[in-house]
Amino acid sequence: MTPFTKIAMVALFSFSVLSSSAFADAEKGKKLYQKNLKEVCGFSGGVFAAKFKQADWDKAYKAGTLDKKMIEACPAGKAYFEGDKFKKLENHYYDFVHDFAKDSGNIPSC
Amino acid sequence: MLKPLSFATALLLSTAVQADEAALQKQIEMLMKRIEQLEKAQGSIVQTQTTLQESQNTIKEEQTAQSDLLSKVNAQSANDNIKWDIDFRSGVHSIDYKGVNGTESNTLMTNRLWLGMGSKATDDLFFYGQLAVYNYWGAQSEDITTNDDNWRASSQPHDVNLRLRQGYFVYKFGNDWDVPMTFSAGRRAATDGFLANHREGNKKPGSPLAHITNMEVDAAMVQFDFDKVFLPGSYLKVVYGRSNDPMNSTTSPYLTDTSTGDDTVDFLVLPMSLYNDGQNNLMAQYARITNIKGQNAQAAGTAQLGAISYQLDGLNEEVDFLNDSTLFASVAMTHTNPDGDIPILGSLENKTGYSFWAGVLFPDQITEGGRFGLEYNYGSKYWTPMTWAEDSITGSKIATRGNVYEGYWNIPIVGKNLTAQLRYTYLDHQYSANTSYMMDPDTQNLDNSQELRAFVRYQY
Repeated sequence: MTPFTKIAMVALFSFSVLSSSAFADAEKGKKLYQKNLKEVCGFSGGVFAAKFKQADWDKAYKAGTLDKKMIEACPAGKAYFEGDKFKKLENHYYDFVHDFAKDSGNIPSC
Repeated sequence: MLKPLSFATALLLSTAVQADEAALQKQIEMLMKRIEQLEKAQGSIVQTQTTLQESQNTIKEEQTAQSDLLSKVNAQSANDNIKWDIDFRSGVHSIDYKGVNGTESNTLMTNRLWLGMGSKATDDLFFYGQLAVYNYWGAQSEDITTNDDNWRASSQPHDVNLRLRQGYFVYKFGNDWDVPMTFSAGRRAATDGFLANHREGNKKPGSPLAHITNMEVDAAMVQFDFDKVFLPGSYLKVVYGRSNDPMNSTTSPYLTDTSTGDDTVDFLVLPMSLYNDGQNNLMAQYARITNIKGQNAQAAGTAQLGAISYQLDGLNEEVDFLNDSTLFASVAMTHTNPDGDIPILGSLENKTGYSFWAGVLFPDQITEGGRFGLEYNYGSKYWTPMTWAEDSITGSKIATRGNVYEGYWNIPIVGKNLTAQLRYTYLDHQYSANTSYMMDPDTQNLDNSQELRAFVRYQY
C-alpha cells in the first residue's frame, strides 16, 4: 500500500466516523440575507444583525420566535420571515446575526 | 303623675338592661380580637419590612461586590482592545514529483497557527491582524534563504517563527453618500482570495481574485462602493503597494544601489466586484507590476495581469442538493513587457499567457454540511500569475503551465469549530514549473507532481 493510499484510507475512515453535529453557517446566512432581504429591508446585513445584541437574538432563537425578532428588525421582510423558506434556513440566519450582533465586535462585509 | 312600676315591668326592664350589657360585652370582645389581629398583622408587616430591608442590604452588598469586580476587570482590560481568535491546523502531506532527472517522494507533517486580532474602535474604524506560524514537523529555524520570504513565508510551511501575515486598519466614511468610501493601509488580506477559499476550506475568501493574486503584500487601498448607484454589491478597490524595498541593511548608505538591478517593485491592483446578489458573484481584477525581476533577479520590465471570475452559489432553491452546490469559472491572462536587455521568461519580447479555471462543489450526502469539490486548471506556456503564496507544497497549482486536476472533501466534524479536509492535486506540467519570471518556460524540469493532503483544523 503506497503512502498516498494509506493516508487516504486513514483520513476517510477517521473523518466519516468523527463527523456528527448539526451544521449552521454564518457566511451562508450572510449570503442568504444579501440575496433575499438586502433590497427588501433597505440596509446591509451588518446593519440588520446589529439591530439587536447577541443575548436578544439568542433569546428569540431559543424561544422559537426568531422570525418575530427579525420582523422587528426589518418590518418590510415580514412576508419572507413568515414563509416556509425562512423556517428551513433559520439556523444559517441565526448564526449570521449572532456572529455580527450589536455587541459581537465583528464586522461583516455585506 | 308617676305611677309605681309593677314587678313585671321592673323584671322586663332589668332583663333588657342585662341583654344590652351582654351585647356590649360581645362587641368589646370582638373589638379586642380585632385589635389583637391588627397588632399581629402590624407585627408581620414590621417583620416583612425588616426582611425587605435585609434583602435590600444584601443586594446592595452584592452590587458593591460586582462593581468592585467590574472595576478589577476594567482595570485589567482597559487597554486591551484586541479580540483574539484561533485557527489551528495539523496536517499530513504526501508529495510525489516526477521530474526530468527522476522521481522524488516523501510524506511531510505540518502545523499551522493563525492568531487573529480584531480591534473595533467604532463601527467605521477597525483593525484586523493575523500572526502566523506555519511549520514542518521537525523544521529548523532559519530554513528560509530566498529573498521573497516577505511574499509567502506565513502562507507556506517553513519554520516555527511567528510572523505577521496580516495587519491593516480600515476606515469607512461617507456612509450617507451615493458612493461610500473606505480607506485601508497595512499588510493586506491578499492570500486565499476569491475562488481559492474553497480548496482551502475557508468560508470567506480573501480580498483579491486568486486566479492572478495570492501573495502577502503591504499596500494602501481606497474602496468605492457603487452598490447604491450601480449594480448590487458592486465596488472598486484601488490598491497601491510595494513588494521589494529599497533598503540595504548591511552597509551605509542604507539604500540599495539600483544600478545592480535590485529596484523597488511597486504594483497597482484594481480588484472590482461587478455584480453580487449573494447567489451570483461576478468579479474582475487588473494589476500592473513594475520592475519585475527577470534573468538573474534583475529589474527587467513590467507585468500586467487581468482576470474575470464568476461564481454561482446555489443552483436551484427548490432542491436541497442543488441549493447547497456551487459552480465557478474564471479566465485570466498575464502579459510581460521587458523594457531593456534583461530577458523575462527567457525572452526580450512581450509575452502573453492565458489560463482557465473551473470548479464545482456539492454536498457529500454523508456528513452534515460536508462538501466535495472538483477543480480543473489550465495554463499556457507564458502564463505567470502572482500566486507564490498559494498553500500548495508542490508549488502553485494556479500557476501551472499545463493541466491541473484537483479533488477535495471539506468536512465539518464539530460544526464550524473542528473541520477536516482531504485533498488530492495532480499537476501535469507541459513547460517548466512556474516559480518566477526568471525562468524560460521551455526549460522543463518536471513532468508532473502530486500532493495528497489531509488536515484537521480547530477554529474559534
